[in-house]
Amino acid sequence: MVEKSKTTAVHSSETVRKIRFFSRNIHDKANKAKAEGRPVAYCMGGCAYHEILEAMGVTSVYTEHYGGVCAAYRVSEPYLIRAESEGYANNLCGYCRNTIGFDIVRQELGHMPEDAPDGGIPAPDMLLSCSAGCDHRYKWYQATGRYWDIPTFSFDVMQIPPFDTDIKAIKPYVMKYQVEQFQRLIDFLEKLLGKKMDWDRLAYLVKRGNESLWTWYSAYLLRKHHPSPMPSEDHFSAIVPAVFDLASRETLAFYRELYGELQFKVDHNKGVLDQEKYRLLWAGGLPPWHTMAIINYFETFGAVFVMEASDYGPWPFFDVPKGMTNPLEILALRTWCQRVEYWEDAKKGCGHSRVQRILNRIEEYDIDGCMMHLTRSCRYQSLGQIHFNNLIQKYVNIPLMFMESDIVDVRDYNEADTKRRVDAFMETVDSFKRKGGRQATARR
Amino acid sequence: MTMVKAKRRVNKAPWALGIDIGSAYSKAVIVRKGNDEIFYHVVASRGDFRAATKKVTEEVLKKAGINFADIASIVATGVGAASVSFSSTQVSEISCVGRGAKYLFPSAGTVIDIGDQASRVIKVDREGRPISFVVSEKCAAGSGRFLQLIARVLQVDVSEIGELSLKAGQPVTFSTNCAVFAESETISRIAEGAKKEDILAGIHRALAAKIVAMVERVGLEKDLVIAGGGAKDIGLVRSIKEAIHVDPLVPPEPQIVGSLGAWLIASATNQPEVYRTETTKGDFARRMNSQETASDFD
Repeated sequence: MVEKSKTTAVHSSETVRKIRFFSRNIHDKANKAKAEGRPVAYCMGGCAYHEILEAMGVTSVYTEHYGGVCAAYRVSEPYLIRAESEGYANNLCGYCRNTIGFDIVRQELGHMPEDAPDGGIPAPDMLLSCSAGCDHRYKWYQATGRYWDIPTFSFDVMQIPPFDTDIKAIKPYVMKYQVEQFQRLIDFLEKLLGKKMDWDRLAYLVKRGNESLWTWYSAYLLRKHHPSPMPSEDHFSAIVPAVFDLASRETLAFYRELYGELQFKVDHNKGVLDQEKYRLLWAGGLPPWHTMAIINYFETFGAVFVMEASDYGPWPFFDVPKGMTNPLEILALRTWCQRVEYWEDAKKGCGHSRVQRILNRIEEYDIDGCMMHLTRSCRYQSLGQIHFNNLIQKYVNIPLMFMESDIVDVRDYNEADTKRRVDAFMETVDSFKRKGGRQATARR
Repeated sequence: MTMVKAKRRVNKAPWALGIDIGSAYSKAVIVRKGNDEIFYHVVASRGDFRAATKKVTEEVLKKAGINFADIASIVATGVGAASVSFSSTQVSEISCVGRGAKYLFPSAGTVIDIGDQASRVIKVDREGRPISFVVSEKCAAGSGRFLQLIARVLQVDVSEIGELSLKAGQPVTFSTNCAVFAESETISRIAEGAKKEDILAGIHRALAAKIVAMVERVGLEKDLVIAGGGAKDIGLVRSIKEAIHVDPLVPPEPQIVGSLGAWLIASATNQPEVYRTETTKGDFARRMNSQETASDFD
């Protein structure tokens, strides 16, 4: 009998090892809510509406989260195939295909599929789509809506402002627009649920959400230490509380514990590896949830992914101005600050916020090499990666590899080929390092 | 069957062996200490990497006139490298091809390696180490397999397609970048009366365009070397030359460049610390004496 090789990552942080239970608990809560007749919504990450849903008593189910969980358990394939049999293209977002396929299978069975990880996700009472991140998100829930006779709400989230705008001049308009969007969502929920928003509770949840995000952000600054106390395989698990359960007290407790662990490791000079030979940056793309163990493979060379520059990351600090008491304004300000975090640097630097984030992190985290995960089905994260690389090389001469696979669909992954690329990449990194490491190629 | 070259001597160690187990062909190289005489052997892999490993190793040892016990170090590369049970180290094709090309052409700056499963473009440093590289997408249209598919449809031996394509008068323009669609488009063109040589020249142009796009991603640094089985196709080499406007250097036996690079690493003078070795030296010695290894060569 052939031994099944481990495909999930081996974590370094004790705190992060608890995520499996945390994640399971999120889905347990959703299934319990459904069983008790409380409203459940399908949601999307990065939309900043989590606290609003919590305050309205709506239990959120993040369909991208569940796509990642199914991929990690390697049970996605039948769901992907089922979605494709409905006519959805195989280069459509893996999360989207997984959820559509899962929904169809659950509907056809009349009960939860037996192999559904975490006991499955419940059928939703509403669909809350969102424009944050990628363009297909509206269409995803529009398509999902064809299978359910339930309300769908489209929620708009601000994008990174263009560089030829006067950022100070547009800020009040963007903030006003974002507050209107939040209010639209609240109006929709109040009408649907027949109850009013509890504004005091919302204010409390927003405050706790901010504290969770800031604790997370502070913890990650500790990763600048040599040797780094936490790798990317841990990061991609550590995102779960903040992205999919931001308002809970467990989330705040998780990041406090993580901060404490990383601080302890920094104080005692304990790194992911005893000998950290190379420091790598996860420079783009969402992770291959189906084979997170590939990140451990880099560690066999003495290389640690010490930081990420992907969109799944902690949101930055911001000062809540005195007198700003409306929680919707604070939520809008949080979103604004996240969108413009690298805007000023990019305007003075390379002219592209996402690339500027990579360039800044290369310096701040003392990076020897970068890797981007090129995923055919995630065009938001993958489009432009070659351009990004070209732009990076204009500013700093550093090795960069592309790993090709998918976020969910393991059929797009070739382990042997990927490892051979990693082998060659690590030799390139080593070669650079022997010659003095990365070199600035233009004035920053 | 030997190929002699004398650019520089790197073989300070005793006998070493480089093996490249590819999806289509398996190659082994030994270089004689002293006069840089290259002994090599190539066999079709035929889907049995273990048998191919045994065969290609036996043959190259015969050509070099030495015994397996004389080999002090072995490096395996290629898709079937894991099947080389007696190898202490596996190294990526990218690392091996870069070194092999640099050994044959010290002026090499960029190497195109056209293999059966994938094409690679590698920019190399002075020692032949990769500075930057790109591998073709997971698609047959970027690899030598593309040519084999079309050769089969045209009922032409793959070794003849280069010469034949040079006779083309009006190369066919293919409207697809997909090998599967190109296969069906080829059938349509045959039905329309297109000549085989024009179809082959069109296929060469399509493949060359993909490879040149990869070169542009990496950034061309002269001299350009073309290696791998695909470099034996003179029609494809010409198409690349026309597309990139550079005269490429092609070794007399381009198929063995990867195994030559593996030999260079095995010869230990430039083996970097970065390589993961699957076994320690002690393990290696035990494996050399193990029944498993013995059964391969008894």
